[in-house]
Amino acid sequence: MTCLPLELTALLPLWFVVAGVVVLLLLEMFSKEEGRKVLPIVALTFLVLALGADFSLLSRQGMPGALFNRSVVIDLYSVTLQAICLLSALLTVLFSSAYLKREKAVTGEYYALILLAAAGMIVLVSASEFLTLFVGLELMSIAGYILAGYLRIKERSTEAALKYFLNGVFSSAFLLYGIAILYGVSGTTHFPDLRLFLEKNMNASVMGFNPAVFVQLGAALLLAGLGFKVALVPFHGWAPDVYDGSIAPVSAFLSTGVKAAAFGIFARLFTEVFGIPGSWTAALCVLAVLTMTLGNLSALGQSNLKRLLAYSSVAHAGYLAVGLAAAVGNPADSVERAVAFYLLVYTFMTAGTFGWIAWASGEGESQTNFEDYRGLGYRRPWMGVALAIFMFSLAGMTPTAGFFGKYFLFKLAMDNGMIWLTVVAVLNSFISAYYYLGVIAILYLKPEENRSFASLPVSVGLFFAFFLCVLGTLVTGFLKFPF
Amino acid sequence: MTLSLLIGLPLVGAILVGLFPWEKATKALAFLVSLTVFIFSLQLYTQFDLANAGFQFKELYDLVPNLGIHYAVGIDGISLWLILLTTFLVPLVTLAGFGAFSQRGYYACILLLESAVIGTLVSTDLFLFYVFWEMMLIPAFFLIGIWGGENRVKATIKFVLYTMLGSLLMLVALLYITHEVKSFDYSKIADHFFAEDTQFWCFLAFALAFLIKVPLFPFHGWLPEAYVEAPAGGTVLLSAVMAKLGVYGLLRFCIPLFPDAAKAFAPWIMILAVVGVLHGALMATLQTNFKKILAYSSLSHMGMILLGIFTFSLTGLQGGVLQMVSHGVYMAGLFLLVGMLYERRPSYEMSNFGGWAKTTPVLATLFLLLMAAALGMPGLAGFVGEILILVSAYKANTVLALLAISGFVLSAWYFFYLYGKVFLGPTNKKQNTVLDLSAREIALLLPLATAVLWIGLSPNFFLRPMEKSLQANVIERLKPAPAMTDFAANQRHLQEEMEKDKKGSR
Repeated sequence: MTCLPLELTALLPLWFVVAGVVVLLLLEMFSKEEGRKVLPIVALTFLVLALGADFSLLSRQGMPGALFNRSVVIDLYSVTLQAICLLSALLTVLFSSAYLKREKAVTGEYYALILLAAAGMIVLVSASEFLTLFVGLELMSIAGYILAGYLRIKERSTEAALKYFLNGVFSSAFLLYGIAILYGVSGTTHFPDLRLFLEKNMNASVMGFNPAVFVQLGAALLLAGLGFKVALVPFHGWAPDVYDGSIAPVSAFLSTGVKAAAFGIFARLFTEVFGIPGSWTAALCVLAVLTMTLGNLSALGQSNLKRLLAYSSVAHAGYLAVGLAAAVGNPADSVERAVAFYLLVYTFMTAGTFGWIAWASGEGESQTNFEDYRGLGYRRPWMGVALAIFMFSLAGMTPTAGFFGKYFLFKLAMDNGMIWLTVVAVLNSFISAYYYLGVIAILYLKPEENRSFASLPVSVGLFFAFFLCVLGTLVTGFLKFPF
Repeated sequence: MTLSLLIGLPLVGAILVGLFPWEKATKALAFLVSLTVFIFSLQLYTQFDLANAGFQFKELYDLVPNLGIHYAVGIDGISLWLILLTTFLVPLVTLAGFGAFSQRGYYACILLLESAVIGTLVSTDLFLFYVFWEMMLIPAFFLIGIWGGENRVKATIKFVLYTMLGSLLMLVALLYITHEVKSFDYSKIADHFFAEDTQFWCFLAFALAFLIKVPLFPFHGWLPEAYVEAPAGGTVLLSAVMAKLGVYGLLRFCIPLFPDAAKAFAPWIMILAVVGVLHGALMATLQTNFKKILAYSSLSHMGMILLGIFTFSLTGLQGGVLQMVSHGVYMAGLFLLVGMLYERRPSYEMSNFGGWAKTTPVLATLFLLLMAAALGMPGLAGFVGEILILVSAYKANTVLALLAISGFVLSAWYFFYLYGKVFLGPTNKKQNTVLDLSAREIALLLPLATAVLWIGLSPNFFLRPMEKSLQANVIERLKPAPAMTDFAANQRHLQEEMEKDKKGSR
């Protein structure tokens, strides 16, 4: 029998985050206008506590494993993903505090929602059965829908929220159908049990009834449902509008934390459960190639940095899908390691870039076109260098961490003998380099006289956030990864 | 520790330059750092063991042990001179920038580039090599993109994209090789026998990356713009240092790792090299922009180097490597002089100049000296390498050698045309205000002039250290392996014997 203290300590990050939500809501209720200054600090405190709990889990010998009647699994992979999601929330709070002050829209609910979504992510990435997965996913998504429409007086923001909500609900339905079918055919919702069932019955035919057909149908529906969440082509239609329409710090959160959590569980499903030969491998290959290529080609034509980043985030989901496509034939933990590493790196560089946009776009986020940043590199050299580092990393150039992330993913494909997939992935990196380098080049064109970048302040929190992102982008590749 | 310090010192220097509180002093700091690196690198020569053909100054640490990635460095006779060339040129480039640039970023980029170049030259782990190889692009991108001329942005993006395309395909080949060999260690991969098909594709992928960097004839699209738009120091680093890395990559990786494919491709590369020699020379004769003339002449001379190397004879290889060093020295000098001309009159058009030998006699004399070296005047740097290359090429293929020689006739034509237009002829009035070289400029050109004479007068000093390594690491590896089946049987036999030995010794 599992003992209670272990179950409590193993989910300590979750408790901290939930406690943070309650405290933030109470503070919002009882504090006056002046008291709102402490809101981000309170949110940060709880996030740091949760991260600390994660690190103490990572450093202890032996993981707790399956808990709560096997509905949750606390292993290296889930703890790492929890840390990535919490990191994303932390960066979002840091970017938001200056942004919301500038837009005069500071409320307690905002921070409470971020922590609520973070709680959903923790549940999602630790799920070891489908119902927990679904509860975590919905908790995360619903908070996300509200965050996307946070500035409800802005039309774009409302549009983003509506699109995100409709697509999200739609994809949840797919997911539920998939879960129902898999339950119907196998009689279980636990991942390890389902795997055992698949290994036994994939090729069996019981009384003219072939479970493989239903398993494949279920897997296809899961693929579609999760594909919507992580924005794989052709399920990506919502992503550019949502990432572009939401306020920049929220875009940072949606494109890193939410995506990391969804992709994390996606990877667990397609390695630990569906990591056996089946038609989903071919489907994932096709999705990966489509996602990378269409994401990158659409990004080529953009003239708005935020939109460019939205498409680039689609393309990066494609690189991750390359790793998943190679899941069969590679050990599950090496796939999960590569995916988790990439998600960590991706969080640093993408959150950093969205944060950069939040800083540089000025009041009301009015300036997000390339042309608005002409010559910024001369006026604010350090901020220019920061964006350049993010762009080099997104393009996958050494020695930034983006290269190492891509290397580990592509190596999986190569080890699986998928040479053509590797070549396509590498050529996509090449296309992406074109537009990422273009962004850097804009910073060093002759400056326009009419825009002065001197008035953009960098507060302590913002400085810390950028410092964290730049440092993460530069050194993560050289660290020994925890597993 | 010597090699790690050579990589680390410029890197730390770059960070110091980036963070130094007083921006005006950063250029002096950068110069001091690069000078220290040069002085420090001299011990590579003094402690170099001439009798040892393998890697020396070796270091080995684990980086990512479960993926077989190591920090492994070492040098042999091939990389020795290229490292010394790099450490020799960087202080001069830094010093040359004093007049035009005072931003810290410029000097930080130069030092970063130096660190990456040295890293590339000393890596004996293929992963490490790739990391340094691509790392070069970032400082180079900024050097051209921020401190370059009018069309710098287009030039720098073109340059980086060309180079990236090549290196990304090399990455695929690298992934494949390590998938097969399960190691990134150079000597392990070199001892591995690859199937014919694998050799073909891997050679192609690696060679493309290196030949774009050189560049060989059809891959030179980035060259004219990048060379012309880059600031003088940047052009020097591009032509004198980074172009050599392409050839180095061929010598170190393409040829020894995939010998059969190298032999199959050699005639084609030699033909393209000669086409490059002629194309570069002909294009140079058509230009009115003298920086472009030098850019095309650099292309033409790089073709010669490739011609020598792909003869696969010791003479040709030695000539190629020696010519790399001399090309580095005289091209650096010429591009720096062009930069000095530009500082005096911001234009590269020959029609805006004329008669400068009267107003700036020292500049004109030094230009003539370096130009003569580039033309292959006996007693100066270009001569020995060219003779060695042409002799070996003549033995390999008479027609190609004769065509390559005609490229040299053309090079005399465009160089003397350039000299006549810029330095001779009537002076115009405004020119009286133009100053001759300052003490700083003379100080930075004198070492180059000395080196040009030194290489020309005692080539053996330079040829001796590389001979053994070229013989052992390139030529020996090209010797025909026993037939495939024999080879496999041989391997098995050897393995069995080794196992017996082990048992016996126990």
